[in-house]
Amino acid sequence: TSWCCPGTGGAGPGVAGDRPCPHSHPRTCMKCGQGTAALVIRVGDPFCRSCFREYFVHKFRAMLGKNRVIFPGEKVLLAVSGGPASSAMVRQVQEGLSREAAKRLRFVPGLVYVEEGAVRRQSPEQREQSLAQMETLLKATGFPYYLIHLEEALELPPSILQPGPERTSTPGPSGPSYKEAVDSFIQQQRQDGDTGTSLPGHSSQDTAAGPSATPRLPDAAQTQELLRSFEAAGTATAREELLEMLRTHLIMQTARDRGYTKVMTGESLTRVAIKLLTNLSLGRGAFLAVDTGFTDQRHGDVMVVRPMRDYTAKEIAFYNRFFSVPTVIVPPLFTKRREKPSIHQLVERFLLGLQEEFPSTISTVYRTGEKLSPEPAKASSESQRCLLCLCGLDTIGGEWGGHWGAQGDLGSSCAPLSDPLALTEEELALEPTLILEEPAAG
Amino acid sequence: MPPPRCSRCPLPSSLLRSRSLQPFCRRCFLRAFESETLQALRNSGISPQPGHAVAVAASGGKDSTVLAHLLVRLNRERALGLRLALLGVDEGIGGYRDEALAVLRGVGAALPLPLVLVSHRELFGWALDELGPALGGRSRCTVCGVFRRQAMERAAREMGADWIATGHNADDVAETVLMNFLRGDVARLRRAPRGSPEPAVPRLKPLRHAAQKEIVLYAHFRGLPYASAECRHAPLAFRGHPRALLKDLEASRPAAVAALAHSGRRLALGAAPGAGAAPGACGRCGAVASGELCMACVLLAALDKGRPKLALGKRGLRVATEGGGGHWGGGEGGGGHQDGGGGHRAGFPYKELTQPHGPISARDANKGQGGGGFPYKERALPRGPISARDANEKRGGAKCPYEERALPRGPISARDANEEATVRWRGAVTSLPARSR
Repeated sequence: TSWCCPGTGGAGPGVAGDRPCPHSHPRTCMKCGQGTAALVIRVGDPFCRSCFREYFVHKFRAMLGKNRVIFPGEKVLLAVSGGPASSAMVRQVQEGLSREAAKRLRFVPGLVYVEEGAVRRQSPEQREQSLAQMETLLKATGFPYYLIHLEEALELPPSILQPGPERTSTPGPSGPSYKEAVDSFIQQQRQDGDTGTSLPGHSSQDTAAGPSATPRLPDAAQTQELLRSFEAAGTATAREELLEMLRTHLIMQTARDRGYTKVMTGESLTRVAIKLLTNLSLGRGAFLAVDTGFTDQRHGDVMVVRPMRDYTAKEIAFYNRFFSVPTVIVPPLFTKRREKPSIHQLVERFLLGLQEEFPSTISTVYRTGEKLSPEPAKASSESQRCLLCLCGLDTIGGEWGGHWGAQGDLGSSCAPLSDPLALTEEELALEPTLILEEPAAG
Repeated sequence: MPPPRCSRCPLPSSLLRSRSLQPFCRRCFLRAFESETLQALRNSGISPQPGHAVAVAASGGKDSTVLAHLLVRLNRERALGLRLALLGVDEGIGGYRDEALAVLRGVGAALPLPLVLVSHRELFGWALDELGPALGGRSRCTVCGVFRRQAMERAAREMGADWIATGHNADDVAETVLMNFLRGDVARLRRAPRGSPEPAVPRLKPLRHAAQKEIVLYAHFRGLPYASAECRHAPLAFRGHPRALLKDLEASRPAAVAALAHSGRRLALGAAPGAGAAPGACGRCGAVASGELCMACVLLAALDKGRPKLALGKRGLRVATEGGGGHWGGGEGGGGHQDGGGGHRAGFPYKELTQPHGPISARDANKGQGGGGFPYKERALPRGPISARDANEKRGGAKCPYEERALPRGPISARDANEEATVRWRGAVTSLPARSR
């Protein structure tokens, strides 16, 4: 409608001709054409509430269905942080599994929450409070749930630093195909009278390994030791990376201990775009596909899946608001005074700021990331894997590794290539990002 | 407490190195910097052999000045046996390029190295400052860059250079990785490690591992003068955004600059569609082109038609090759580059450039007056307010500018001033007369 801005020839002042008019007026949903639009997603698509819900749910099912990595009856661990994306993910799983859903999902979910209050500058009372709130939230789902403290990372076994054995039931030539698995599952369900995947009426609260089954806070000595590790990581960037690594390892260990073969994490599109640029800046260009892609099979026996990676933060926020998805917000990782912001924070601020001026920035970064081939540097043998992130090493055969000066002589009297003053290879390598203490033995 | 010591010798340190933050004294830093540049020169895949000719792309700015000095020094001290010359491009940006070129001439005199200058106005008929109305307020950086690369290619071929060396530093490489990711330019991301395809003149970037800060330090320690003004059009450039981010990243973690370059080299992007096939030649001018026309010709066609937005998009190529309604000659749809001897993909295009009356079908078919002129001059039908073009017209100019280079021409002062210097240095090299500046 061009009459809303009279006197400017149909376009608002300073607005390009193809942008919608800045003045607000009701629009109809583009999908059903009837309801009043409740929000605008992407660049200019208005949706009404019910069509938006359909769109949201459909995207989730399509993501899982298109990729076909979740087999029926499989145990899938949902990593919940209390934030909006993982909470929306839990809600999707709940709705997808419920009996009323058409073509309902067919896996067996569990929930895991890693309590990180020690490094987020929460007092013990605040930690207890967050913990209680999360427990209520998790209990309400009816799925089995596990509450872990970050301090437990100090007791991880060294086996966490190696990929587990590939299971024979994983998809591929050795195992059944997806279609066969679904068919046989449906058949079995009919035989069992459709009680196959019925969930227990109440949720059982399991805690992580440890003699004391109490979910309360760990003792102060452990917290102190954890804090010391984090302080030892000198920069904010290193601290963020450390936190992510420990959290991932804890979730992996839980999955292994409890027999889960898949882990779902709630990274949104916005988060993926930020992670792409962050990891580029950290030198992880070779591994962007595993770090941000839909599947991540580094750990061998447990696969990480990211079903929320196609949802923008805005869509998730609106969904949570419209449909009352509960969330628990915790403060961010601690930073020291007069410390430079971490690379993660810088990139986040940059992208969100640039998005204001160029509204397609974040989705463009995301789509560029999608073009990356999903076959990252495969480690040829165990010795070629990074110890901490389990990716194949990318330091060999590069500019400064391997072939030093193998290309011809530039003159007979050229200096020996190992000029003692040139940067040695260790210096040319990137500085270490983490200073880890050895996990306590046994 | 004693002052911090250099990490390589007992002298006190004067600086911390950019990436490792190690203390270095002046002498050790200079030696290390030179040594690393030499290694980067050798590690480039194929590296220049003794006897090769290297055109050093120079702008008068800090990177290219340091590069020129470094190459001369390494050539001398390590007996690399390279033949060097400076190659400058005048894009026609007033107040920025003029001063830089003045510094550049000083550099050429001091080293001493012969200097070759080419300008956008004479090669393409457009100086950057004149582009404003035609582009309608959009950023001119794309046009500037495309023309400059084309100009360097042509000049390098004319000079008989085997390599073009540019002063891209580590910060540039890192910014480029970020920028291409932000814009979703998968094609450029894919191309990055290998550089321009055959048969373009291969590129050398010996400073690609050097941090910008260290280049400034090197220039300072060696007392090298350079022009440090910023281009007038820079605020409009998109590159400003990733540059600002890079500054912050570097402050947070100095290794991020090198990390970005490393990431860029290791991106797993998969093979490009149509990769492996050697690119062909532009139908109009014979330059390297991945399509029918090179980017410069596409831009020029669109600028001529007054529709520059088109040029920067995919339809530009189609519009440029449309026979009807354009200024391009040869009404047989597509400009007649399909007929004529050899076709536009035959042979090594650059050999043909040096013989402008040779078998380039586009020229022959288009001009038809046997003795094809340089196509851009042909296109320069009187179009109004562009004085350079009018001036050329009056001189009956429809000739290849390279032929005219030996003759000083009116309004282009750089050309006049450089007249003595622009002698083919394949054989005897003329020494530059002393300059008063």
